[in-house]
Amino acid sequence: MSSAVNGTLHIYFTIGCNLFSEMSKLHCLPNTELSEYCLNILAKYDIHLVGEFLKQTTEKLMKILNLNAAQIQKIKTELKRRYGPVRIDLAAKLRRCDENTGESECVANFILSDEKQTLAIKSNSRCYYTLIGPLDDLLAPNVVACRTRGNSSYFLGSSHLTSKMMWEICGPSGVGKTQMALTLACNFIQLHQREVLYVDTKLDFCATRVKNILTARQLKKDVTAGTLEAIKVERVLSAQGLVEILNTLYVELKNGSSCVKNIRLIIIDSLPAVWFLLKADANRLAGKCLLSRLAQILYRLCDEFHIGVICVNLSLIPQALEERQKQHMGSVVSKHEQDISDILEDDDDNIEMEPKQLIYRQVMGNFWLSKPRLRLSMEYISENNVEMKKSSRRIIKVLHSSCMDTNGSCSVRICDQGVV
Amino acid sequence: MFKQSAFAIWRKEQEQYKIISLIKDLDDSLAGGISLGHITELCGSSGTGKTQVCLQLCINVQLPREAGGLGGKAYFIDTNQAFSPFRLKEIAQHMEARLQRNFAKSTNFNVATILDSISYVYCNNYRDLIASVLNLHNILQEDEECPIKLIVIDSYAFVLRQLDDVDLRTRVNYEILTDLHNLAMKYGVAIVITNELTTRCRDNQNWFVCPALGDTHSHKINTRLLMSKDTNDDHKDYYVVMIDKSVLCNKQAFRFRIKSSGIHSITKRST
Repeated sequence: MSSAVNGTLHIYFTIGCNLFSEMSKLHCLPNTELSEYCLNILAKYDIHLVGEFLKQTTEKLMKILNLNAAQIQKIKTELKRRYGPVRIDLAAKLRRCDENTGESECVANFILSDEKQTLAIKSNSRCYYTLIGPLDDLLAPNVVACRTRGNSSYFLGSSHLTSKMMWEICGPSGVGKTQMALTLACNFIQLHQREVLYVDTKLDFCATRVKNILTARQLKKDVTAGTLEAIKVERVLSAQGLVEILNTLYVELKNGSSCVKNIRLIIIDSLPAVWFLLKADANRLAGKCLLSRLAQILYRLCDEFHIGVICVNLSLIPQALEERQKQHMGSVVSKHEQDISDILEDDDDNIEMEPKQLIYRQVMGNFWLSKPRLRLSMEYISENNVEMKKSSRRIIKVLHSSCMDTNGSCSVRICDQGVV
Repeated sequence: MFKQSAFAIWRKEQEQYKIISLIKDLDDSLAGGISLGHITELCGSSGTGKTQVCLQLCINVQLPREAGGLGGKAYFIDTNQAFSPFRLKEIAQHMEARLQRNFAKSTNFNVATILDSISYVYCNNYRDLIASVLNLHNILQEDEECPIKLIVIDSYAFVLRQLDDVDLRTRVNYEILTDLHNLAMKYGVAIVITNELTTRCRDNQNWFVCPALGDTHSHKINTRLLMSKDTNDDHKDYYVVMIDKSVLCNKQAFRFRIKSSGIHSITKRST
């Protein structure tokens, strides 16, 4: 996948023949023997799509179409060129991104070392600290910031945060997910002087609370006002509306609109609040379709405009391990039924459960599980102890991460200054 | 789009009046009382003062502007026939007297106008409830001069718990709550709903008492207040309200009393 040429590192990413292109319908190709007549013959043999054509052996196609091997090969090569895998020069892509966003300052150098050699990848993904001490220690213990000629660069270890990450914060109701989201928004602006888009889907955004957080940090009045000004808030109460907003944002960013060009972080609070409306819908696919569209547009924003995304998700009260295993072994149909639904919602539930094997479960369904690159779970110190629930201490666990161990956890506190 | 900043929202929030609950500590913690544009839920077992607080709020929302009120109307959706006009009248009489003592000039705040400004509708099942909530869009559009500022649904859980299909219940619940959120956002009304308590088994041995309708429901609620009676023998007639979920403050509990004249605050804090 990678090759060192003349000392500089070029990384090529091979994007496999995706389903969409393979599913394209066959059509006439100029300068080859693939004519309308040939298409009719192929149709008789039940070959309609590009993928189906490429899967056939050359001998069979020679026999069907009465062409020689060279002619068949030419058609195949042409089809592969049009629909096949594409090689992308990552270095060139990064340069293009640089030109697009005009961000040359603060370039992060990632030193990734495998057993054989050390690879240095230069990327313009930015490192984002959360400014929540314990969480930073957990997520990026090896970050060393060094300043050279006014430019900061970060040398990272095995785990790191970058601007192209999609995060998820999940936790039971009332644990402080919104507090966490508000704190992250404030910290981000303080640290990076960039704007944040806060998409509020259940009217939970409270500017008074943000103001209180900032006041408790004893910031100057103009800094407080500036921070408040840098949080853009959009309120939307439907899943369709949410996807539309993000699409509009994408278009505006593409057009270089002045009101959105500084946005570098999107916080969505919260996904289940709008997705549950689609639950038990006659058209069960509606929810999934919108969810994949959401994931697609978020990835796109992450990738093209270096925007970080934080989603807030709900997890339900602990569920016994036994029960969870049963689900995993369940048939495809039952998995489908569980998508975007919660099984333990019933308050009169009294399924036999094994004590002390408690695991939180997110409610957005199996499809969404793999979408965020980092999933943080915010939990009470003890779910069963009422007194402990009243305390302001919370545990944050890493449930899923694409670049670090998933067993870490740390303890944070909710106070006047937000989550610290 | 993308023009509204948190600063603008903060200014709006600062200018906005809130509905006072008359429990001083609670009002202080919630930055002035029950906020408009949000859903507030009162949870508690029977006899813990949920309906009393609802009735009190229906009156408090009508307090004139000069007394720090909103001068708005209330809309009461009743599902379990707990609404008592006699009790309402009793509280209204005392409130009128209390206000007259402090603000001698105020004229429009009397028992007749108070009772006049509370609309009442009875819903027997969830279909009725959906219809009533939808109908509120029309009602709120028409009333411009003295707008409705408070919608109470007592009890919200009662109609929904009649549904035994969990999928349908979650769906109906989210539909109604989203509709209520729409109303809250568009017309700036406060929404107060009441919920019941239920038991839930978390593992083999332990049964927990928790609010009904599950965690998906609590996720959509903005502020949740848990109500109970004080178990301490010295304070038998005291009630306790605990802020269980609020973006403004941590979990904390306060005592209050319910007298014939309505809700009364006790300045001394409980834990």
